[in-house]
Amino acid sequence: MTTRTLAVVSAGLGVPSSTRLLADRLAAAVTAALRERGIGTEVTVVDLREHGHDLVDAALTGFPGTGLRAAVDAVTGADGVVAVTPIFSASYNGLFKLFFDVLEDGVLAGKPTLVGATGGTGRHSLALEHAVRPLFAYLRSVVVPTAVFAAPEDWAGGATGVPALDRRIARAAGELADLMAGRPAPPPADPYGDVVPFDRLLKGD
Amino acid sequence: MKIAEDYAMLQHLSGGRVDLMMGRGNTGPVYPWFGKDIRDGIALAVENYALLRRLWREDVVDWEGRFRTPLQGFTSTPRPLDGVPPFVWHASIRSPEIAEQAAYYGDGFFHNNIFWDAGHVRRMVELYRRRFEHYGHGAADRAIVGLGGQVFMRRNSQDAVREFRPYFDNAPVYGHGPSLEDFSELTALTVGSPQQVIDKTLSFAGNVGDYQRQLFLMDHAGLPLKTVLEQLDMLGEEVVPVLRREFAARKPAHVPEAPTHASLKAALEAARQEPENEEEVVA
Repeated sequence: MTTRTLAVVSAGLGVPSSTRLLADRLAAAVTAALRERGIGTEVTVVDLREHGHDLVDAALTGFPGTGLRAAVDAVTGADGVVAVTPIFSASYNGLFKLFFDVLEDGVLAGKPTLVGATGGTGRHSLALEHAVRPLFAYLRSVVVPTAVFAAPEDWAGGATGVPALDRRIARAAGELADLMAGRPAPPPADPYGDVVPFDRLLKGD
Repeated sequence: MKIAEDYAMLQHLSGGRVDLMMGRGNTGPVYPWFGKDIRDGIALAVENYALLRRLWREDVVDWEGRFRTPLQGFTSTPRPLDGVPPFVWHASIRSPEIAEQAAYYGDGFFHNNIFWDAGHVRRMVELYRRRFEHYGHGAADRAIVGLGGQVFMRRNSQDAVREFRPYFDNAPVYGHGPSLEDFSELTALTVGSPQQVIDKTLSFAGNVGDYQRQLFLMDHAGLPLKTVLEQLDMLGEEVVPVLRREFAARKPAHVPEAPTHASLKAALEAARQEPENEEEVVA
């Protein structure tokens, strides 16, 4: 069976974490949606909480340590990404941003991505659209149209007039599965292998 | 132009005991301070060095480029000592283009080796060696490589760690970041006894292959002058003699020493007698 790799980034801070819970449910839904398309899924979860100190170190030194390097490689090499953050002060939290800040330029370009968030009330839901989606627009990721926000009430019956959380998760997962099914990730660029020949540098290329 | 003239002058003053090592600055404003744009950093390094080579090798230069006033009939003075320009090292932590530049000309490549992890240093040096061979300067293991390193020593390694840790924790670049232990594991930093410094430094040749120059950063992290001088004494008396012996013992005969003025002069004279070999003056 064909398989695709899915990297799940969770910036939840608590243990247990509702952000991680949403991330896991999104990952399961993407796996199910790919299975419906006859495709297996290898899921790697990157719980940023475990890399908090490494992320600060990487921001200060400019290079990731061993554990963080594995997490970065899992995300940049995946066929698809699920990225979930708690909403703090009307935006993604600092841990979430720090992870995407330490990636090299361009490594998420074209990457099929599903974004999700959790927050203290449903009134934070548009932070996905005004903060998280623009971040991935800058990174040139391909973000699926449905972003999934989980407010406290979504873990019960949800708000009146809003499709239940599992319905929104399934819709978003289907959108990501369609992108991942159609397009495995290209092999990562190797800056040490694909060097620009010097005669082109001399010409100012 | 200033570098061409100043370093040729320095050759005359020092009897040829001059190498030139080029880097591209360590803070963004160095470009605007010189009226340049940091986004042109690589292009400036490529064009300026191409001009520098001509100023040293051609008595009269006509030249036009992107980044400075054209030259018509310009002669850089003094001319290089014995007509032999200084040996040049191109230094870069993370720009593959600079390793490519060093390889293209058959010049030396220097990696500072102290701010990034050993795996990254190895990939940069491998790139340089592979491209050195590609451009016909000789086998990859004959390319001219230099590395940096930073050390702090005391007779007992525990004393070294205890004394250096507060300096490490507050050092520029990596201070307030990784632990001394993590940073020592990932990078060239060695804090311990002279024997530990010797062992770690010898391991660099295992990482990048036999190489020609080892530079040590000794005046770092805010150490007081008196301490730095003590460190220099220990390095010179206990570490460097052993490293010279051990590096020489492991280096195969076909791996060259770093060029000197005398060896470059001899190579140039040999090339003049066999004009078809002109391109191999560095090797």
